[in-house]
Amino acid sequence: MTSSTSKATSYSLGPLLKSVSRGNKGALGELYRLTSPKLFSLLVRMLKREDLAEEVLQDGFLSIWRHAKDYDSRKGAPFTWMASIIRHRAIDQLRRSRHEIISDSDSTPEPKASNSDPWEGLVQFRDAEGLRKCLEELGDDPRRAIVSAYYEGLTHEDLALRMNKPLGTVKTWIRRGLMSLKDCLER
Amino acid sequence: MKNYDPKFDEVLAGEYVLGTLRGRARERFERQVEKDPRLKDLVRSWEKKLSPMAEALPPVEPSSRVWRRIEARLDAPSAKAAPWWSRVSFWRPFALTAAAAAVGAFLYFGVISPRPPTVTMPAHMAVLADKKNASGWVLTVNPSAQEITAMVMHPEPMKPDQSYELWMLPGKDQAPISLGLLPMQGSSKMKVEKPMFEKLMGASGLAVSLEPAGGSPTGAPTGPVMYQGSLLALEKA
Repeated sequence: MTSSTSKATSYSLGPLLKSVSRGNKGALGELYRLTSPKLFSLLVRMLKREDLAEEVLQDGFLSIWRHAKDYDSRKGAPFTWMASIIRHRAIDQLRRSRHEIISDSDSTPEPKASNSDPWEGLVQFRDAEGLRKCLEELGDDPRRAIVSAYYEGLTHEDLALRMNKPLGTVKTWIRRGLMSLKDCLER
Repeated sequence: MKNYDPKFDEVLAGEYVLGTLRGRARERFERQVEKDPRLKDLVRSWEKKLSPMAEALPPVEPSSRVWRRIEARLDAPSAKAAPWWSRVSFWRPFALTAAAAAVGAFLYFGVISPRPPTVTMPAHMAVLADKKNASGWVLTVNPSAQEITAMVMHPEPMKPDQSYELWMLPGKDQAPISLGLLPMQGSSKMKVEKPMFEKLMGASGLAVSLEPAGGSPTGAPTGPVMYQGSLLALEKA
């Protein structure tokens, strides 16, 4: 059931993370068991290579282990905090291995996991309904640009190439899209 | 600070979280965020807005070697300085306004039930999850009251003539012991008598079986095991 994370996130992950901050390895194991499948799914999608995704997942959890004491539940949900750490690392990794990945992309088959359409997941996931509706309001091109940027870690340049549009157009889609998204979500 | 355009920062923070802000612009923004609580709040707010995209992904189980590698490195001191977003007080409170506190409390508890925003740490907890690691219930244990609280997450719906029954598995070669029926909505408390409670603390695991309404007629599990978990001491051992 795709919708299981959110409520479990708010309730069970908070105490686990707090316990991790006190050095409880068992709590980290439980946190890993509950969240790694979603985080790994995101990484495989962004990095397109399972070996890199494993590396970033590993580093990310070590970072979560060391910095759990910096987490403040008043500032957001545990899953959001963890996903942010993981995504930052993935973006760093993309920057480092960008050329390598691009030149490899013909020979390396994409992992199966990244083939499913993330939009489908968003449609089925109850807790994403608000975000999905607001993304739909953006119109096809800005929505595709924002969704691809999030899930694949694409730059403006990558998006322009992918969508076969001028760089300026893509930048405008993203900027206007983000503003409309914010207005819609805060409505 | 006179002429700043709030929209500009808002978009910049959004692009940063989305990941399209790259190169020197990204580094510059990171340095600014570290100094500016207002920017930090914008970043957090975007993280929260976009996070459902990550949560909505179909789970993909990583290879078991990843956890083995993590476990092997837990005691190693961190070799290099961590980047700012994991190093810093990024998630530590600033001057926390009452409004922000209220929003935080809402985020944390809003989906669950009216509970005071002070988190009382349970001594033990267990997440009862199915084969796909989807959570059915979260159990928290209050040792002083010898009480277990079972909070419903997303258990698979069952037929009206069925119940989910919670069992502790006391250990090798010992029969499971029933702890009671699990709720399908909200939460419920289960009292556990003292000798049983001590057994529970040493139990090797917990299991949930699907039983006829009212629970197993035989005193032992009769239906399939649908969820499993184990009690985890939250205080550092």
